[in-house]
Amino acid sequence: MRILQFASDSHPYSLRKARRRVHSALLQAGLSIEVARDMEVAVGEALANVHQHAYDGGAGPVSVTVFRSDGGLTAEVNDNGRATAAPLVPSVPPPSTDIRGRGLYMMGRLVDDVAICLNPAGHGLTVRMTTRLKDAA
Amino acid sequence: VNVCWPYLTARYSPQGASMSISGGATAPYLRISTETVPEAIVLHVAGEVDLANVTMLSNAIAEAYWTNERVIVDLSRLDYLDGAGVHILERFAQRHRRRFVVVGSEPGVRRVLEVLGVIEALPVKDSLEAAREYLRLL
Repeated sequence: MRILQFASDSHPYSLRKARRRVHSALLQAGLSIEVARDMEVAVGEALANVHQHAYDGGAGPVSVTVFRSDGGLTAEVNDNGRATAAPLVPSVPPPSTDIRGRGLYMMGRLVDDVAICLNPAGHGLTVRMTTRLKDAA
Repeated sequence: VNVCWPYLTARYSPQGASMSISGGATAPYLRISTETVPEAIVLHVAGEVDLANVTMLSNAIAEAYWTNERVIVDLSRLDYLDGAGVHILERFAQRHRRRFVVVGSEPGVRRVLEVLGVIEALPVKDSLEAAREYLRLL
């Protein structure tokens, strides 16, 4: 069941509106405030990475889909940016001197599963974040 | 193996044209006010910290150190803190060890600080009073 789908851009001023849309759609779909907040932050970090890395600090197209399936909630953030390989999700927090990798680490902690895939076009990434729902309807 | 297959997201295809477009920019949503207490200068930060305004927070903290040698960053009225915001706080905490403390009682902000494991390192206190006490006892 699709909860939300929209296209946006990766301008920093657009991030807030995009992640707020995810948050309110999840609450409207009956999910708990904790699940909604964690997914909002995870999507927010994915969008920030799109701005910083996919489009080198610029504003490029990004799409967001939120989907509910058997026992799980999935959010997908898709860009059309320059990446030609998917990064790994770090399992330990990056050192405070390192500005990179913080967002990916947060995503890995906030949801149960993060998959990052190179798009079939050969560039651009899809970040798929899934949380298991304990008492799924 | 492409673990994202099949994709949920309709891309910029004819079908994608039916997607709603989340229209662009809104102004940075951040308000910072200052207060001087005997132990420190306090920055009350309200709104949301993200890439759009993280330099505002960074500049405000740097400015606070021009007027006082101890700074309390009060995030109890903050609704959202992103990873870039946490990174800024970590940098100031390193540079001003024992002269920097964060108040982080708002549950969402607290969650982000806990996830990144910086509660002890910044450090983060539950109330303004606890932050002031921390500076007093040093």
